Order: sequence, then C-alpha cells, then structure tokens
Amino acid sequence: MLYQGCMIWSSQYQYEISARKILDFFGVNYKVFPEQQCCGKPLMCVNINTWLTLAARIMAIAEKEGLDVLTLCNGCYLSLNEARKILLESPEKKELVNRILGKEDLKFSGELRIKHIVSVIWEDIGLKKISENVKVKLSGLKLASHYGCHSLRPKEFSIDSNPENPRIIEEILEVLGAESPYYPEKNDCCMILMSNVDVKGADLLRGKKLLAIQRRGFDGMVTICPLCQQSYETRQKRISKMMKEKISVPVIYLTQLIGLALGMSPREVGLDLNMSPVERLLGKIGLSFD
Amino acid sequence: MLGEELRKLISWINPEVCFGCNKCVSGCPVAEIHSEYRPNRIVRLAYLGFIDELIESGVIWYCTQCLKCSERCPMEVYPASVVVALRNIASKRGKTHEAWIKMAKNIALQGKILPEMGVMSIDRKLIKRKDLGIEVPNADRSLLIRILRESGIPLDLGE
Repeated sequence: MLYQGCMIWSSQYQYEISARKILDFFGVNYKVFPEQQCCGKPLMCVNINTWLTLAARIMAIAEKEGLDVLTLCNGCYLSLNEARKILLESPEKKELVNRILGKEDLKFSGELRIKHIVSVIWEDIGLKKISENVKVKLSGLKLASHYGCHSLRPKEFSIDSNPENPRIIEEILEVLGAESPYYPEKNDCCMILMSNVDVKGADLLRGKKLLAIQRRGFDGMVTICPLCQQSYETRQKRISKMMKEKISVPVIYLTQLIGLALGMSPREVGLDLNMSPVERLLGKIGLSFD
Repeated sequence: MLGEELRKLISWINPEVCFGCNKCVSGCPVAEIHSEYRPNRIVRLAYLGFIDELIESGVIWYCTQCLKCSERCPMEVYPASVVVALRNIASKRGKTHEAWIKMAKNIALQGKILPEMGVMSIDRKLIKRKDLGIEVPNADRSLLIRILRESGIPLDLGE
C-alpha cells in the first residue's frame, strides 16, 4: 500500500509522481487507497490514543488486503512504526483501537511492515539494478543530502544503520554519478513543528542550513520528506529578506533525481512543480524543461 | 517520583536519574534560539511537579520533536516524550495550542491536517491532484469524527 500522507495530498505532488514512476520502472507493485486519512502523528501531542487509532486504521486497511505499507513522508513513517510497536506491546491500547475500528469491520493485528521509500530503493531495488539502468549520469553535480529527523531517530527505526552519520542517500547519489560529500549541518532539523509556534525562529534555523549549503558550493539539496522539502523550498524568499542575504538553493527529491538519471524528463518527475530554482541544476547536466 | 498524571503517560521514564550532562541541550535546535527552552529543565520541572507552571508558560509547545535529546540522553530520560506527555495533559485541561486545534479540526473535516492547496507550476498554472490524474483522498467525515471522539480527543470539533 502506497501511503502518501497530508503534505503530499495537499501540495507535494512531485514526490508522489516521481516515486510512482520509479516503482513502475522497476516493477514494484503498489496499491493506493483514497479512503485513507492523516497518519495521526500531529494529534499525538493532543491525545496519544487518537494518534494510535488513526495510525492503526491505516495499518488495518493494509492488513485486510495482505499488504505492507510504503510511506514517502518521514513523519508518517515514524508515526506508523511507533504506533505499531506501542500497540503490539500494550494489549489494552490494542483493544481500545480495535473496539473503535471494529465498527467498520477493520482490525489491527500488527502483522505487516512499514517501509520508507528510500529503504525500498536501497533494499528491494538495490544499487546494482539502479546503476545498470542509469541513462543520464548526474556528473558534475555536488549535492547536499538532507535525511530529516524521523527517518533516522529513534535508531530502532532508522533507515540507515548509522543514524548519526548516515550514508545511504550519498551512496545512491554516487551511483547516479553525482557527488555528495559530508557537511557539518547535514543533520540539522527543518523545524516544521516549531514553525507552528514561532515561524521566524524556524526560518532563521532553516536559513542557517541553506546558507551553509550555498557557501560550501553545493549545487542543491536532496530531500526524502515532504515536510523538509516544503520547509526549505518555499521559504527561501522570506528567509533571504529576514537574513538580508540572498539565498537561492535548488531543493529536489531524491526520487526526482533517480527518475532523471533513469532517463525520465524533468516534467515526468514533476520538476515543473518544484518551487526552487531547479532549472539551474538541470542546466548542469544538460537538461531543460522544453 | 512522577506525579500520577505524568506517570500514567510515561511510566517507562525515570527522570530522577538525569545528572545534568546537558547533551540534550547542546543538540536541541530550539534551545539554540530560545534561551528559556532547555529539555533537561523541562524534565526536572515536570518531575518536581510544576506542571501548571509549565503549561501556563507555553514553553512546552516549542519542541519540534527532532528527537535528538531523546536519542543522545545517556540515561534514557527521553525529554521529547516528556514534552508529548505534558502536551497531552495541557490538552486535557483545555490548553491545547491553537495550531494543534486547527489540525485536529481539519482532520475531522477532511481527513488531513490542511486542505488541498495545489501548486503553481513553472508554466504559472495552479495544479491540483485531479489535473495530474492521481487519486484524491475521500475519507468519510462522520467516520473521522466518530474515531476522534471515541478515542477520547479532548477538543470541541465544532460538528
């Protein structure tokens, strides 16, 4: 089951489009269920049981079809994994959510896996298959990886075996022909949740990271989460004004870059929907929108 | 010892063992810009029973849940989980931050935390999911309200 989550339903369509193109390319089957709702994570901070029930509903729908869940968003990824763990460890909570879900004939058992798209790319598709299919080398691009927080922490759900200095995005980018060196700001957070309370503070911290990426001579930033993508991509003008410093960094999903390297056009991977100067990045590898 | 309310929510945490190494503070992005926000101080105040004061100060809503404090704490105190528990207690007392009330109402109304905004393409056209031929979510409103209510959300969802 491909589960998109709120941000992708609302505006981050290019992540879903590019992810689906890659899955189709490599023959990974998935199903989409429009009757789904939010993963519940935002309500964890209001009422833990509400979060658990919403998360359990998504998993119960997948279980009914005998499917695992594939998430694109880091937030949804951790939400479902964490909820699954809590429900499996607490018979009381499991009973509570199943009492609520039972009314629409759904039942959470926990017999499924929750996987992030990057893990599917890394484990199920694999670097070898990707490298055999690269048509357009991303040579000459120097890209800053941004993992986001909930794909790495807590470590028991980390998509990389080394959450303090992960390397799997870098290794994928290297197979595509790009370089992706370490930079000290790599693990800095996009501050999406704090922006609910203090937008300026969040923008200041985002600006620090974007500025560092710019000054270190990267051609762009690579994300794997719609919350991070939106945080860094759509706020650049406001951040520039606030910091009195021109910030102009192309921000692009890893799945879009993989698509380009497989020979898909910029529009096919939804680059016409990005809000940062991605043309600059395309120009460097001899591509354009026309 | 934790107060009854907190212990119910975070029974696996023993805040007493914090010896103030400040690892949680040094990694905290919120602490970087808000001097009043210190994960270990929040844990200690909660442990000492200053729950009302923490709720009234509003400081508990600053945490961005990056989870660095919880991962790096050598004593497994999990400050980020303490904050979540405090937010649950605040909500029970009718003190949910307005941003979270809005997200809850949107989930009740349309299944997601925000409406479909669409995006301006490079050709200056407003694009929505239907223009791209991808499924539009259609969660059932009465079902969502029932789930939120039965799971005990302490909010008036305005239905």
